Amino acid sequence: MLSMLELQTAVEIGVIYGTLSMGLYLTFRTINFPDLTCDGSFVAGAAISSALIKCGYSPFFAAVAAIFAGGIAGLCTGVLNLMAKIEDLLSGIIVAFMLYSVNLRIMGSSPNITLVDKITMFSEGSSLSTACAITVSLVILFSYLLNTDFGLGLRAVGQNRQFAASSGVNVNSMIIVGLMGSNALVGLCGSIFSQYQGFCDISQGVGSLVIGLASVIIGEKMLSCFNIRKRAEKSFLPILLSFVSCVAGSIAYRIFIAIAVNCDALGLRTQDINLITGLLVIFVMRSTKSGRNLC
Amino acid sequence: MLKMQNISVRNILINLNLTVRKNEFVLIVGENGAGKTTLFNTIAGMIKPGRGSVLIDDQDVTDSPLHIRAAAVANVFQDPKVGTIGSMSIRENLNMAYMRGKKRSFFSMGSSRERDCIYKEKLMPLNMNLENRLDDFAEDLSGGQRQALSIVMSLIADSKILLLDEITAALDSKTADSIIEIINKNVRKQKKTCLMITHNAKHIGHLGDRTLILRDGRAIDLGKR
Repeated sequence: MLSMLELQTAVEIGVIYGTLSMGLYLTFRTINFPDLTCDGSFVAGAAISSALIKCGYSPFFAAVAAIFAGGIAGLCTGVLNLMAKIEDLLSGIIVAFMLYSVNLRIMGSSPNITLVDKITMFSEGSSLSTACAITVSLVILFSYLLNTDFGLGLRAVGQNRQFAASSGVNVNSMIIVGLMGSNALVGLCGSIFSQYQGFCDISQGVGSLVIGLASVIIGEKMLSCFNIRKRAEKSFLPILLSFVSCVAGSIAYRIFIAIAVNCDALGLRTQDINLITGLLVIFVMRSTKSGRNLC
Repeated sequence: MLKMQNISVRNILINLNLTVRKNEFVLIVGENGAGKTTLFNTIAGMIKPGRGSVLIDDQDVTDSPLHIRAAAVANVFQDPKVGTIGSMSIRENLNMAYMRGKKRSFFSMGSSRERDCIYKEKLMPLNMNLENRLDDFAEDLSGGQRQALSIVMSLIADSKILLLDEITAALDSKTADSIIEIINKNVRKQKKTCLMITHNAKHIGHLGDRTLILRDGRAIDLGKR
C-alpha cells in the first residue's frame, strides 16, 4: 500500500515536474511545434545548476543559469528549424543529441554530481511549499504573458500561422521565443529536480518528454471531464486553467505511478515505470480519440 | 495607391498591370481559375511573384514579408475559419486585428475597456448581438456570424488596403446585403482602398467605383459604373 510519505513524495515530484509539463504545453499546444529538445535541455538545466552549486554559488542563481541554458537550447532548435530548414522533429533530436556532450563537459566529464552538504532551494523549509511557491508563480506569470498582446500573437501562431502572419505577427520570431520559453521552463525543472534529489545525473532527462506529455494529456483530460474550459467566461481563465491542468496532470501522473509501483497485488517494480507510463499515455489518448470520458 | 507592374505568377498571372487609386473601391470578376485569389495573395504578400513589382504608396513592397505588409493590407477570406481563430474568444480575435501593424508588448493586456468600446461600436451595426458575446469562443459562432466577425476585424485594422475575397458566398442574402452596406459605408468613411472579388451579378454595376475582369492572366478594365 502507498504510505503517506510516498504520497507526499509523489505530490512533491509532481509539482516540480509541473514546470516541465508547462514547458511542453508551450511548444506542443501553444505554438504547435513538436519539440524533442526536452530530454537534453532538462539535463542541461540540472547540470549547469549542480555545477554552479558545487562551486558555491547560490541555488537561486544556479536556477537562473539553468533557465538561460534551457533557453539557449531552445534557440538552437529554432535556428536549426527556421534558418537551416531542418525539420522540426529532427532539429529537436539533433540538439538533444548534441547536448549530451555539452552536458558532460558542464559536469566536468563526470556522469553525475552530488549536492550532499551543499545548500539547495530545499535545504530550508518544507520541500512541498518551496516547490509549490515556484510552480504557482510560474503558472501565474505564464498565464499573464499569454494574455498580453504578445502572448496573443504567440497563441495565434500555434492556431493558424497564415492568419498570424497576415495579422502582422512575425511567425519565425514567435516560434523561436516559444521554443526558448519552453526549454527555459524545462531547464528550470531540471535544476529544481536535481536540487530536490541532491544530485544530477547525465541520464536524468531520459523519458522526460514522455512524462511531460503524459502530464499534459492527463491534465487536459481532467479539464475536459469537468467541462471547465467552456465554463470559463473571462479570457484570462482558459489559459490559467490550461497551465493549472498541466500541473494537476503532473501530480496525478506521479500519484498513479506511485500507486502502481507500490501495489503488491500488481507485482510491478520500479523498473516497470516506463511500461506503465507508456500504457497510461496510450489509455488516456485512446479514450480522448474515442471521445469517451474517464469520469 | 496600389500599383502592380508586369506581375507574373507561374502561368496564372501574366504580365499583369494594375493601378488602384487611393480611396478607390474596385470590383474584381472573372471565371474560376482566372487568378483572382492569386492576385489577392500576391498583393497581401502570401505569394511572391516570379516577375514584376508591387508598390503601395510608391514604396516597393515586392520583397517585404507577409507580417510587414500586413500593416498596410487587410484581407477577408472566403472561408471565415481561415480569417478567425476558433479557439480564441471574439475579443481576442478582435485584439489580433486591433494590433495589426502595431508593436506587441509583454506588458499590455489584450483587453481593456477602451478597446471593448471600439469593438462594441463596430459589432453593433451587424445586429447579431456579437457585442454582448465578446467572451464567447469564435468556434461557437455560426458560419455567417464568424464571417461577419472577420469583416469587422478587417475594418478595425488601420490598414490602407482592404482585400475582400467572395466574402458573402457563405451568407444568406439579407445578411450579405447588410454586410455589403456596412463595408461600403466604412470603406468610404475610413478612406480605404478596397478590392473585392465577387461572383454576385447584383454587385456589378451597383457597387464600387469600377469593375475589373481577370481573363487569361490579365486585368481588363470594364470602366466606371
